[in-house]
Amino acid sequence: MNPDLSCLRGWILDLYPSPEGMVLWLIDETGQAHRMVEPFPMALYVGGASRALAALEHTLGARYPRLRLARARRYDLFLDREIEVLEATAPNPIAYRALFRELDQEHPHLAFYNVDLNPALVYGLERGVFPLAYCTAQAAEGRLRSLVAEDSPWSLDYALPPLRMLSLRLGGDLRDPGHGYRGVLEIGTPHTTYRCRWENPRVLLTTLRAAMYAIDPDILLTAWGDSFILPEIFRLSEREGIPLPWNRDPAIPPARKRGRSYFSYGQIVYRAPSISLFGRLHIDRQTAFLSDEYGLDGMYELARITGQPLQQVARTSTGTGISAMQVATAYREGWLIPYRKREPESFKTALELIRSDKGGLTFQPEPGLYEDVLELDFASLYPSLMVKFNLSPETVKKKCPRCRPQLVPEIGYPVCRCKTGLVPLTLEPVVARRLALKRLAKGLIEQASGGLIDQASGGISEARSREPDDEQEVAARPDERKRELYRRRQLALKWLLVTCFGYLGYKNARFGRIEAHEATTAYGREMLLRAKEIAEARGYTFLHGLTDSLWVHKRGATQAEHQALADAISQACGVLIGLEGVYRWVAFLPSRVRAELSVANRYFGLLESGEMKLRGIEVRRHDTILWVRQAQQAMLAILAEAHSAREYRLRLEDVFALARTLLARLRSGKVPAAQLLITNRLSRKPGDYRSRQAVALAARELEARGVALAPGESIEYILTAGGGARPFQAWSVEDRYDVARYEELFVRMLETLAVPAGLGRKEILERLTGIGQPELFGREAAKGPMVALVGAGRGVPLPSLPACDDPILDNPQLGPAPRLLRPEEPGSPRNPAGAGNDSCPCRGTRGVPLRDCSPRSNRILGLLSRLEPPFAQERE
Amino acid sequence: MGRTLASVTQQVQLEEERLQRYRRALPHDDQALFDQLFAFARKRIAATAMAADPLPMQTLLLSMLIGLFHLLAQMHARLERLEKAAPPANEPRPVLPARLDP
Repeated sequence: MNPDLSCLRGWILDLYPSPEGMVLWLIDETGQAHRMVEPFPMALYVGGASRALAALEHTLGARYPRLRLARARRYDLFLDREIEVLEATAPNPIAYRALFRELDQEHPHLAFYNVDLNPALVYGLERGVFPLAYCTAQAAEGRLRSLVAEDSPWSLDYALPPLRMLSLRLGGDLRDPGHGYRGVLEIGTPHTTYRCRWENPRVLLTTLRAAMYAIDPDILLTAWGDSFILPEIFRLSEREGIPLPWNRDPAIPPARKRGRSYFSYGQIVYRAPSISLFGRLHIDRQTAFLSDEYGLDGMYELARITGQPLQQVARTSTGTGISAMQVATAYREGWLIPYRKREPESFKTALELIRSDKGGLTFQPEPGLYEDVLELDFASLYPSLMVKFNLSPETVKKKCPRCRPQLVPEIGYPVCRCKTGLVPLTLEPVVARRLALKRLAKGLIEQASGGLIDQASGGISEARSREPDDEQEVAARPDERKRELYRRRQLALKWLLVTCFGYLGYKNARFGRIEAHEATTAYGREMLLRAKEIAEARGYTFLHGLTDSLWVHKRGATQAEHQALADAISQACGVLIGLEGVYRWVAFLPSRVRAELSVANRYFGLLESGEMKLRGIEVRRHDTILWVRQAQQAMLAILAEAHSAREYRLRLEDVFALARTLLARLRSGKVPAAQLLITNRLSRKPGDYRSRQAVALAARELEARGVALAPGESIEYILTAGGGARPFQAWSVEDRYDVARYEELFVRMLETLAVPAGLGRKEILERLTGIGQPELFGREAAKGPMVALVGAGRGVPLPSLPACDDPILDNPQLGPAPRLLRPEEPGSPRNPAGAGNDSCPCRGTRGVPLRDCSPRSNRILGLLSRLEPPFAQERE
Repeated sequence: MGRTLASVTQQVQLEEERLQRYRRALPHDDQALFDQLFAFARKRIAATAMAADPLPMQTLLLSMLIGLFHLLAQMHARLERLEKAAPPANEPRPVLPARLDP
């Protein structure tokens, strides 16, 4: 820290309140961190009867001489007029919070506005800055004198500070260490990784201390840091008397929040405890919302766009992000921000309720395997509709004397058009930005020249002006790394937009209103129906529709015809619809309960581009065991070679060959326990379970071993022979897994792939028990195309952790979280020879071309040609 | 989940459950046909949702009729194909609306 700093350029790393005002940490271009403080008074508003306000003003004035009190008139969004309020300005953000707590307790009958705002967000709005913004600052003796942003949150290309990272994770399994097994502590620096044993705390602490001083990290990246690693090191550090420089700000200790269970949408959810640092950032990728989806790049994007500090972005859902953006819009416009939602649902007749209380339109496709199917997707349908039709809590069902309102189709709600609503105002730049990023990610347009888009509106016009004539702009395609960056940024925005729709109807959302939610879904249904009608008018057969996507078929249609269809729909709906692609084959899956009906969102198919799209099937589901997921991934890699429904059936025989090999291995008891783990969420305390279901048995055993479990927490267990279940942490080499129950899970997975080709359970079981030449297929299957799909594009089944952020935590071969081996398992540090783990076909040998893996005997081909699928729908 | 009214899928389920006593009293063969009729209704669930009828059974019956008509059209088309292959000796053809001719 430089006390005589005069002028500095760099990026805002951290922003937090203190009794002095706001503390700002700037990272300069050399990577050096600088602390600056600026006094920052914050105002809140109180509404109510004039006499009540006068009395409050008198009381507060007498009690707090440093409080600035004034009467003001401010615009109330829901009343659509200015009202008289008492403005109380606290000298700093800490006093602001304390003042509100007191007012809420003493005067619960008054209306409060702007009372629970995030000081970092408000500071950013007041100064025109945001987290990770590039700024010029002037300061003297640590006091900030001026701060000017040379950056815009809407800039498509932005530089990030040269961040220094230190990673902390546990060696061995990356399973919840709170439940038992804990590996060594791995301290990852940019140069090397130190492995320290917990049994030797002094060495561990001194190594970590030395690493922290040497690197002075900006970001402490952990896995299970919030719930285990940091609390454990705090404890050891105190016990051994070896302090660690957690915060850069020495005045404050790290902030700790306890974990808690709560009830949400019919489910018990557990929120893990959290530990936030000051002056540097702690990001726990295990608890971070969707971190494996968009990675750190997505988090940086969210911090910049939503104005929330990075540590908060990493610990809250994107719903909190969209809420913050709505608050920011209201603050910028000078509107009062209500403390709690005050708009109850308006009265409706029963008929109105029946008409309006509906979601997106879901069709029922005929189950089966189809060829040559075109999928069209509306781009950000709901947010685009909110923007286009001005759907916002204060505009829908409003009696506006100034304009002729537009009526929502189907439900007839009037929507005021004379003033842009808060939600469209907030979303418009986000929708435009996501579209631009998506195009950049696809390499359809070159990078934004000049980089900066200064105003939100400017951002839109730029993005929109780039929409047509894509091909002309392809000249300078961004490289792969850049495209991946854009892809993650747009994914983060996608989640913002998704939650934004949910928040319109959420009962506790500050700016939510159920009628706005209903109007959005009504427009959505209208647009999907319009799209269907246009497609049918152009000779397409409508196969399936799902909220914002439709699947159609037209024999011999060209790409130009498809594009013309998309253009016609976009024009008729006023919302862009894109060609997702043409499927070589796509399977719509039947319901397990009623085979004649399909499940609307369970399908998989191979696009002409070679990408696979998988929805709702085992490989995409988090509750599928790893072994089954890997097996299905390997099988899909085989099916990805099929270019038609006929070839699909042929390839299916290779799938069965692989299945037989895998089943033989399962029966031999050689599948590693770590691949058979079932993850389940506790719906109650372990002792409160009455039945002997597997999750209850495992939870009770964990509890008996001294592990404290809260409802909503997830535990992992293995189904054991004899109908029982054991937690993974208690698993020993003598234990035997339950072959029959795992076989059942496996066969159900296989059904997903075989049923679309017309095979029933009986035929599947027949094929599994020995038609064909097991030894031939066994040898071929052992080559295992396990890694073939990784990197194949959007449809990749097993998402990997982002590769660029953290080389230590990355392990793209395995599922969403890196899964390493337990000490006694093959391949682990204690068993480096990998005994017992050498021949699993689904582990795979790299680099085996898929085309070579399926010679078929004439006998099998003969069998296939006699197949009579009961409901195959493919077109010849 | 957070909804005031039963979804259209739940409504179909409720109607089917409501008629379970009726189904029970049907001959066994008819029970399968009963189930098939409800399958016809379920396949057209998006249309039932759009109709938003306070008495959903009306729309379900319409969906069942359309399902039956669809089956009839398929059989008609098949019959035509068979007849082309082996023409019947001066038998009267079943008359169906022109729309059903493939």
